[in-house]
Amino acid sequence: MQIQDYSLVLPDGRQLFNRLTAEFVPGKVNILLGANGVGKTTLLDLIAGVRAGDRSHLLGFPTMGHIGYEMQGAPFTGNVTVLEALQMMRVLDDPAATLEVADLPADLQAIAHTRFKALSGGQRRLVLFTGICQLRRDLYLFDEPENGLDLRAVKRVMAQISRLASSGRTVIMTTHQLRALPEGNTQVLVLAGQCIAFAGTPAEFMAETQTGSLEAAYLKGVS
Amino acid sequence: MWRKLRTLSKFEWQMTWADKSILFFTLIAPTIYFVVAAVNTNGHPLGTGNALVQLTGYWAYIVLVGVLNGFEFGLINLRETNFLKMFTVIAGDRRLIFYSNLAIQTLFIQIEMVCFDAVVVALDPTTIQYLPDMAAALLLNFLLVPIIAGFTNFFLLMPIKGNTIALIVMGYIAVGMLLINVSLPNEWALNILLTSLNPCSYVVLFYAAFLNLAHATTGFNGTMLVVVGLFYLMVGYYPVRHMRLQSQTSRY
Repeated sequence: MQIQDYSLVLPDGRQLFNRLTAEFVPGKVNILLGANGVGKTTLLDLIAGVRAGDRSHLLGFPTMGHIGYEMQGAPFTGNVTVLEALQMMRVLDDPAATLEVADLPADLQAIAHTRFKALSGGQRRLVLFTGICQLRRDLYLFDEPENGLDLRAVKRVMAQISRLASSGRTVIMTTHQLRALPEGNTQVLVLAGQCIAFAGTPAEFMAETQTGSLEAAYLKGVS
Repeated sequence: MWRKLRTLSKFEWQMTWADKSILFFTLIAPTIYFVVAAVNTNGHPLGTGNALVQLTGYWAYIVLVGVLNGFEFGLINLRETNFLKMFTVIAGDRRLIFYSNLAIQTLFIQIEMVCFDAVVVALDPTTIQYLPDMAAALLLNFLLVPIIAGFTNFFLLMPIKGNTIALIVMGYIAVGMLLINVSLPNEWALNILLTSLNPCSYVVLFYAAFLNLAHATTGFNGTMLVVVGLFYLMVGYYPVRHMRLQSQTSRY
């Protein structure tokens, strides 16, 4: 899955991408790093097909309907319960599928019959993350999945993302949390200066920037 | 596709049913107006002649407000809360949430119209003679609601915030209802213009022509209703493929 020579000028005249080229490796967690406002979410929106634009620069990406996308925010306003929301997402993916309370992760079983509007922001994100992960998709996009979650939940989320990649699916995630990244097959892509400034393993990123930690490498890499 | 549509419709039914505030504008407001009229006229809120014609004005209001407040504004709210964006990706087709929402709002409009007609019959028992027309109007709504959605789908393309759209919608309804009465027997050009541009005028003429009220069942009216209806069913659904999926007010 590649993006080739993609440029984007925003309506306000600001150039967000300039001949951006990136390759996302299947079976790996592709971690997109970058400063605030650099265009990480815009790139995910483009890949997901929810942003209008020239898609001729996108090669090998699955179409909408074969992508699972957990975006920032929690898109529910109604009185549906956690179980109802997850059941709906599951059935949209597989009409024959069923989902019971016992099928949910332990931390969601206790709130299965709680209405979505009564949940905290972190709980809402955890529910949606679980809903996205239960879909059978070729590509998963996670936009700062750790946002609003407690430490234990972050560990569970990152472990789940690792499992998705290990099962052969392609995962692209953005994050500002560098201390609890998914373990194993990861590729780091640093978005800076309107293009991908670095792509490689975390170890290669640290070697390139001659630093001893990913945090230090990031700070040096985006400057 | 149909299974996905059914799943989304079921879910949107739950969400719409949970938010009963929409009933105020679509059902309770015209019902209050009708009750006040019944009190002021000693039980003849529709007058003594052309009662069914008067009733079509109320139906036009329910249909227009149902489409605008329930459907168009509801869809804009789904976009602002990111529901549209996330679930379009999951469903895999940007038309599915649009059509499931339209199906549910059509059902809501029908329920509201049945409730309103029940109040009318209860307060003015002489209107029981119009029960067949009331039933026919409900059947006509299955054609009418998608056409009126075609009239008003341009709201989905407007790059403005939800609050601004709410104000514009209120003004649009008020102007539309006022224009219902601007209908002159010999001004055919004006009547064509109003029927083509004002959804309220279209709805009233639609009921009148198909229920044979006030001699409105003419070949000219029938042709005009079909041409205008087909136009909005084709052109009015252009926004479905081109509307923004992302919020206009928030990046997330």
